[in-house]
Amino acid sequence: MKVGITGASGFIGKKLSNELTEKGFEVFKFVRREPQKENEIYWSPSKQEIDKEKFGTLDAIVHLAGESLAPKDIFGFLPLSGGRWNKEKKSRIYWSRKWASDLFMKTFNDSESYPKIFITASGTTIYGDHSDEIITESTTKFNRGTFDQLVAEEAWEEPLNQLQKSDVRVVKARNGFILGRGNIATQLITLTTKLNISGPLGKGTQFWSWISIEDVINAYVFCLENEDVSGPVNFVSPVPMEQKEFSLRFAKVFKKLSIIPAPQIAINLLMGSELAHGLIFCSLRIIPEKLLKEGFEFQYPLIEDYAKALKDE
Amino acid sequence: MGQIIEVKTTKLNKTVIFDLNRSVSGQEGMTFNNISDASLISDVSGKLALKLFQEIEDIETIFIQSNIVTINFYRNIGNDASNIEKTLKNFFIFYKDGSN
Repeated sequence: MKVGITGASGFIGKKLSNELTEKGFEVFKFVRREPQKENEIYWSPSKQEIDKEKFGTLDAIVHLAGESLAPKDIFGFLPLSGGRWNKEKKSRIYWSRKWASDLFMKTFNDSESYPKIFITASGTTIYGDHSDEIITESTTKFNRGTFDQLVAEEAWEEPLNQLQKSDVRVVKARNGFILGRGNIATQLITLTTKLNISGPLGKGTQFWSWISIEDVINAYVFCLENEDVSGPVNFVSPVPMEQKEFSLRFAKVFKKLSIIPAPQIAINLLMGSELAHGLIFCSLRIIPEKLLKEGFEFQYPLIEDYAKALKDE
Repeated sequence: MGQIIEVKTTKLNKTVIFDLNRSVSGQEGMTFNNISDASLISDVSGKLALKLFQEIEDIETIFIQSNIVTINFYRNIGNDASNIEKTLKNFFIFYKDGSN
């Protein structure tokens, strides 16, 4: 199967490209510069350009590209750094997704030959804060009002409604809070745990719907291979939990304490309140109903197992 | 290959109780509030609950105690519980200890 990947050099894209290649898929990477290899395809979302000929030869597209919501490193949280959600960063986050989604829909609709599978990344932030209410893919009530919710709904998913090809299987992969070696959230959690300074963030009662990067990759492959999967799919582990519980269980594996609270006001000042809400305080108690119904098996369903894997690395 | 189990069904509005002729859990019983709960339990009752959540729509909770399986639905499912009975009866044909 020929699979085109956007965002192939990103945190998920790199690992997914490797996994698909290992499994015998033919992987093509979308690039914004002049293609230099046979397996590269030119596209430019901001210019609304794409190599239609190569696009038409693909069997599937996994669309992951988009300006990262979180800063690339710990210094990105500091005021005046490029990582905080200032006007410019928010514009890049929004338009990098919107332009890409629009471009793909236009290309699908204008082409006679096109991929029959389109899997696009989205975010669980689309649901908006739901306190302790359990969320599944059937949840259609979106609690609007925050920037990250708006991005997931308006820039990632809404443009897909323009698709006029009924024989294309569309999967909206609503990624939860992804943990994995090399991403900033995992680095921060591991560091504060090791230093014995982890604990409740704010009240700590907000639910975190986390997932390991290994399960994210497996879930993308599962969605590619499983013809019965379509529509929104929650990419989260089966056990969402309150942040303070998450922190406690994580620390226990590292044989550390998790008792030092961090007041919400301090985190808001450090990161900016919008980014802090998006990454830390938005309460999302989500279960992966569709993946489980279709028989997907999680490698790391429990946070303890994944914390142990991170500790042993 | 296992044996087909016998099922006696009692319906009470949104609740359906299945009385099986063999035990599928210990005496203490276990409640599964959603498919995620079921996916985390690797014993027979967990696997049965997972199968029910996968194959039957509109299940709110499942309670399994010994040979009694109680399913609460989000809606009244009417008088026909034959598809659920079929899932229960066939479960042990395919299930062996240690199998998925």
